[in-house]
Amino acid sequence: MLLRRILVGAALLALLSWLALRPPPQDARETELVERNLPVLGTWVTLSAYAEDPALQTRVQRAFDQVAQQLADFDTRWRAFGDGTLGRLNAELVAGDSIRVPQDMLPLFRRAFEIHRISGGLFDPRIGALVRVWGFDDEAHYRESPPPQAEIDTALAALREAPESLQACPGSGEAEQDCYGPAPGVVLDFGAIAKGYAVDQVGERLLAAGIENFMINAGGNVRTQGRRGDRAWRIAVRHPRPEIGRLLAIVEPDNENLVTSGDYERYFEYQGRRYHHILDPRDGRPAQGLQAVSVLSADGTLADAASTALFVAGPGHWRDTARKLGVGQSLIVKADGALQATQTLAARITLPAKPPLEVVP
Amino acid sequence: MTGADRVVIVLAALLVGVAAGAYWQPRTVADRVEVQVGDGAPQVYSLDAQRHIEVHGALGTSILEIEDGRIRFVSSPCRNKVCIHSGWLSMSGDATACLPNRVTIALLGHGAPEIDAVSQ
Repeated sequence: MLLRRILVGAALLALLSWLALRPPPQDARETELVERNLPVLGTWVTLSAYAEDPALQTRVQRAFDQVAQQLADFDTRWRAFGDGTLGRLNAELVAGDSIRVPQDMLPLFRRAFEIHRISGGLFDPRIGALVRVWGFDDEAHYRESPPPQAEIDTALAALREAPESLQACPGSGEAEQDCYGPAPGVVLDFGAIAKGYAVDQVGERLLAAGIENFMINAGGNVRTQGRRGDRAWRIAVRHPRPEIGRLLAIVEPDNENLVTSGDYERYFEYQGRRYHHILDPRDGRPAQGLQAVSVLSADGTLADAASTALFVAGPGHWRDTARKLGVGQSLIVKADGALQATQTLAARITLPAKPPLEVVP
Repeated sequence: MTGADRVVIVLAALLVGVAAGAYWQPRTVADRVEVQVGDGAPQVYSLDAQRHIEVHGALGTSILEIEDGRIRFVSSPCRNKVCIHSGWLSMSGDATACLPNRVTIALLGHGAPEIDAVSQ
C-alpha cells in the first residue's frame, strides 16, 4: 500500500515537473510566417507575410519570386555607378552632356528633386560625387581618414554650378520630356531615397497580389501592412549607441514605413572623431548634431528621404524641415543622447529603457 | 486514495498544464546561432559553449566569437567592418552580416520573437 502511494506520488511528481518544465510548444504561428531573404540594394531585404491558408502561402511564395526579380532589376537600374541605367546617365553627365530621364525613372527623379526643393537643399540627389570623395559609395573604397579639403571643395563647387532642378526638354514624339544638365562634376545618387521607393513599389505589388498581411524590411527600412496574426507587427528602433542599449523604442506601424538614419551605419573613426555617411550638401562634411532620426510615414519614399533631410537639418532645424516636408511623426536622438519626438509619434512609442523624452509639438 | 483525491489530482495536473501553456513567456534570449555562407546550407551552433568559429567566405576568413550566450564578429575581410560594429548579439531575431564576404549570422531562440524587425 505504502509502495503504491510512493509510486503514484512519484509518477504524479514526474508528470507535474514535465508539464511545468517542458519547452514551450513550437509556436503555431511560426509555420504561418512565410519569409524570404534577398541580398539586394546593398543590404538584405527580408519579405515576411503572415498567411494561415496553404493556398495563400503558395501565392505569397509566387509573389516573393516576382519581387525578387523586381528588386534585382531595380538594383541595377538605380546604382549610381556601373552598367545600370543610372550609371550610364551619370557617365553622360561626367562627359559634360545633358541627360534625358527615361520614362520609367521619371517618378523617382521628380520626387527626389521635389524633396530637394522643399527641404531647401538638405536632401540632395546630386550628392554622388561627395559620397565618392568620402568613399561611402563602395565598401572597397572605405577611407581611414577624411579626404583632402580640396577634393570636397571641388565637389561642392560642381554642385553650386549645377542646375537645382529638372528641365523640360523636347521629347522624341510630341510629348515633353524631363532632362537634367549639363552639370559637369555632378553625380546623381538616389541612395537616400531609392530604398524607400523600392519598398513602396514592392508593397504595391504584394497588395495587388492579394496579400494583406506582410512586412518588408530593406536593411532597417521597414514597412508593415495588416497584422501578424492576432497582433500588430512590432518594430523596434535601434539604439544609436550599442554600448548604451540595444533598442531605443518600439512602435507598431499601421500600414506605415519606419525609416531610421543614423551616424552608426557606415562610418570610420579618425583621431577619436566619427566620420559617418550622412553628408551635409552645404559643407560637404558629415552632418553634425544628431545621432539618429526615425520617421514614420505611410509614404515610404518620403520617409526615406525625410530621415536624411532631418538628420542634415540638425538639432535646431529638424522640426521645421519636417513641417515643410509634411512629416508629422519623427523621433530624434541628439548628439548628447537626449531624445525628442513629435507629439503624434510620442503617443505611439514605448521606450523599453524609459529614457526621458522631450515631446515637441 | 479516494476517488475524489484522484479527481483533485487530475484537475490540479490539468491546471498546471493549461497555465503553463497560457502564461509561458516567450523567451527572447537566443540559444543558437545560424551561420550562413553565400547560398550554402546554414550551420547551427549553440551559444552555450565558448568558442571561436572560422568561416571561409567569398573574400577570406571571418572569425566569430561565442561567449556567455552571445556572439560577435571578431574579424572579417571587409573594409568597413559593419559586422564588427554590430558588436555582441544575444537576442533571438538579432542578425548581422559581412556582405562582401557573404557571411550572415542570425540568432535563434524558442518562442515567438517579441519584435519583428529593427529599424536602423
